[in-house]
Amino acid sequence: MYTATGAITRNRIVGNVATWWGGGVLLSGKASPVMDRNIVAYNTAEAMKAWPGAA
Amino acid sequence: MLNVNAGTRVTVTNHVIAHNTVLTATRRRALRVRLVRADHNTIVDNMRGAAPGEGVRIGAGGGTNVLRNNIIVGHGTGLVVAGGASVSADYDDYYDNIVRTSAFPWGRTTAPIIRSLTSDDGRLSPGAEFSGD
Repeated sequence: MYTATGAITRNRIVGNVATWWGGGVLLSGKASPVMDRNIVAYNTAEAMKAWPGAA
Repeated sequence: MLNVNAGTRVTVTNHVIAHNTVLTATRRRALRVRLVRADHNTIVDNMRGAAPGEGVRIGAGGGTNVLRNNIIVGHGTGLVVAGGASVSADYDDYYDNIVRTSAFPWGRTTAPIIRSLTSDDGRLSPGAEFSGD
């Protein structure tokens, strides 16, 4: 799992498996994160999650 | 596949979000978002278990959620708007969804010609209506 607080760009987030989430990217502690040009495919459960609090 | 909790609003542009599966009734969204903007995304064939899922779900809270020029294909419902959420959606293409949107009837319904999602190529084919070629 990758935790980021900045922009998420140009990633391939593919083939993650989790019962809830945790296989991909966590965007934490940022009110308005920006995501651009990512491929999000063939994941089970949540590949990316964003919330306002810290991880 | 992207779950945005209350208190955060995201900008999602130029994505391919395809062939993802969520497992339970409470977490059934391909893209549950609170948006600043969503532009130029291709969202295809996301599932809830073995059934067609939701393409985009707009969560309640925050300001107006703006969607433009998105292609949403192959879901149970293409766009779901939670009660109380403010949405401005236009120039989006809904195709092969059982229900286009939960909120309003407009939007294009043209079959997009996507190059190859199996090889992560979500670009439109040359000559496709939305490609600009």
